[in-house]
Amino acid sequence: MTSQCLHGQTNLNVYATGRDLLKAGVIPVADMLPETAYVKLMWALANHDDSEVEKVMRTPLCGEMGDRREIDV
Amino acid sequence: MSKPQVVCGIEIHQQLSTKKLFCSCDSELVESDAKTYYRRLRPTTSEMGEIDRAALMEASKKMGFRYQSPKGVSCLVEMDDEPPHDADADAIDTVLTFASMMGSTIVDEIHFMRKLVIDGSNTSGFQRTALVAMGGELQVNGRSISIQSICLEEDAARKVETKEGEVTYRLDRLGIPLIEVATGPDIRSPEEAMEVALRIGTLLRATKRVKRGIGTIREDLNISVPGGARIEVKGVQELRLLPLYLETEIVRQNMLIEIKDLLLSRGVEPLPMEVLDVTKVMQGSGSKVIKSALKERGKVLAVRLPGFAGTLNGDGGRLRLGAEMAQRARVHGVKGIFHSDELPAYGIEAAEVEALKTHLALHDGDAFAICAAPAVKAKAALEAVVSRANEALLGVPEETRDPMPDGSSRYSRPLPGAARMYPETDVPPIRVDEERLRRIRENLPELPEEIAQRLVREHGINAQQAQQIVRQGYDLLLARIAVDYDLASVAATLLLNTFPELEKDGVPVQDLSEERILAAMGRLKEGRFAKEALPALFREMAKGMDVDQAAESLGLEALDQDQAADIIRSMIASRSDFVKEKGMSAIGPLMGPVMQELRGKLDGKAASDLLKKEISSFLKDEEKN
Ligand SMILES: [Zn+2]
Repeated sequence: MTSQCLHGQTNLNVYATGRDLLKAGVIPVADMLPETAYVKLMWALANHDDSEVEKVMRTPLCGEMGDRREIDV
Repeated sequence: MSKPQVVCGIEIHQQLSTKKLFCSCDSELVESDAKTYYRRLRPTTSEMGEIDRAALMEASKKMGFRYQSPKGVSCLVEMDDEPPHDADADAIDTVLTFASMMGSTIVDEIHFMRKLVIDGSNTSGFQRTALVAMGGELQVNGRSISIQSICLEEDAARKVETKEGEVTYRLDRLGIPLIEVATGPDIRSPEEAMEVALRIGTLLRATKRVKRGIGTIREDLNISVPGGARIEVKGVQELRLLPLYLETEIVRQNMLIEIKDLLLSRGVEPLPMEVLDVTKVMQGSGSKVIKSALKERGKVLAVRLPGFAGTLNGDGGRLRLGAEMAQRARVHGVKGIFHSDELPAYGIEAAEVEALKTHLALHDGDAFAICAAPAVKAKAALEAVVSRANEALLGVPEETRDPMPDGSSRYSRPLPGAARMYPETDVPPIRVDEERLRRIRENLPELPEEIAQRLVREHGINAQQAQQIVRQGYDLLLARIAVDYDLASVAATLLLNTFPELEKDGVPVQDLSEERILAAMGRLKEGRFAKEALPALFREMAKGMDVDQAAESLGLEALDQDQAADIIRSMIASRSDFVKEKGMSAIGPLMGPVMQELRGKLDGKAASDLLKKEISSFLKDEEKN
């Protein structure tokens, strides 16, 4: 699960639908943009064991994702 | 068994040195520039359908809040613009580790709850807290003290400034994980409170994941004396004052019980909430407070306190219900009140006091309180005085109190009601599985006793020193000094003897960070100065200088052997008759002047060796001539 918002990120804990998605096995990837996530997923599937793909997708490797946004006023 | 003098339990809040609890900001306090924004908080009925009395009182103060958000240590989560992230796994592991060390029963699932806090110190209006373990005990001087609960919670923002109607907070502290350890009500004396706090602090530090230094550990004391009530003294930062807070609270509660008995014996009845306008009576008063209040179009209001004479400030200042009333009044934004036990004074004349008594139809044995301020505030303040007077008929009111630096405490707010906690729905429950517990149990840290033994074994300090070092939380620092500079025994003396002596002299040694202490030890090792210079050096460093600046300002310069020998030779030459007469036994008498000349520049032992050598060669030369 990604977000198309440039400065937004996914948090599936907050609403019931999100929690259902988590239960269904969806992997939230913080603020990674969809295109980036798509490429990273291809790379992860090609280079890692299936059981490790979730961990790889959720771990920042080279600045492609992050979970900190500071105040901007 | 004799009746206990006091029943006390402690809650210890210790900051962890992990990332923040619900985001990946650093858990550091910084003084850098920060963006700021302004907000107000309003109480709403909680999900449980009630408004809390403590929350209501805060709301009645109508405050606005300004938040500083420094880079790196605060993000949108601290702003409450973004929901909390998953709870930090290291922080949870640390609490599980501590709970295992205490033999506590760990919960199957960790559920975060919201605790209503609307003084603005939490941007969300609540603090998140989770129960992690219950039960367990610790032994302190042969007595068993039970552990009631071990929780994991987030720290609040820190208060930077309070102005009329506005409080400024800094968000660096908000969200730092806190482990909260609550003991049962098993503590029976002020000294024992201190011992229990020290022991828990030592065990917490044994996890090696806790922060160090002033403000990183805070204690709440729950205190009641027989016939008194539960009082919470909240947020004690200075451990050495802990026994004093307990002592003063015991005295305060017993004093309030005495006042209750006195009032009941006088047949005093609960008072009506009746505030009277006495502006006319006080119109021409010379009191500065009254004059300035009237100039601002304020009023002088009064309440009658029949039967209260001598309890507000009586028996030579020992009975002090007046001070309690004044603290309640100040919560409503007035500077204070005047009460009849302290008048005439403060520019209010005896004739004015008599006029007030007549106007209020008071008799001997009756008291009154007045307040000069804008009418709305003065009325609220005096109504608080009447409430407090009525509570005095019941004994000790339950309160949360703020610790003051002099060991006393001041009214803060009523004890919070039971409706304060409700579930945090944005953080999913965390299952504590067997696998995780096994890993924790297999990697339990060294116990304090084991650390002390290791310090003796590896760094050669004596057992008693080692125990003290661990108790006071210096073990990591001592080990670093021992490993980096091989100065374990110098460090032990410094930390256990020199620092307490300096502290007694009012030198703020607690402000010296470990890094700065290490830097000084490094310079000592390089021979920049001698260990005798350390007390004076740290005295300078505590003023904020770094080690090199301090050494320079003290004129410390390490002497090499040749320079030192020159100085000693010239001292011997100027006392040549004495040295010739005494021979080698001149060493003793000369050591004093020599050390005076060389203190801090040459080690004592080296100076004595050098003096011996130089006297010996001086005497040899004399023989030749
Ligand atoms: Zn943050």
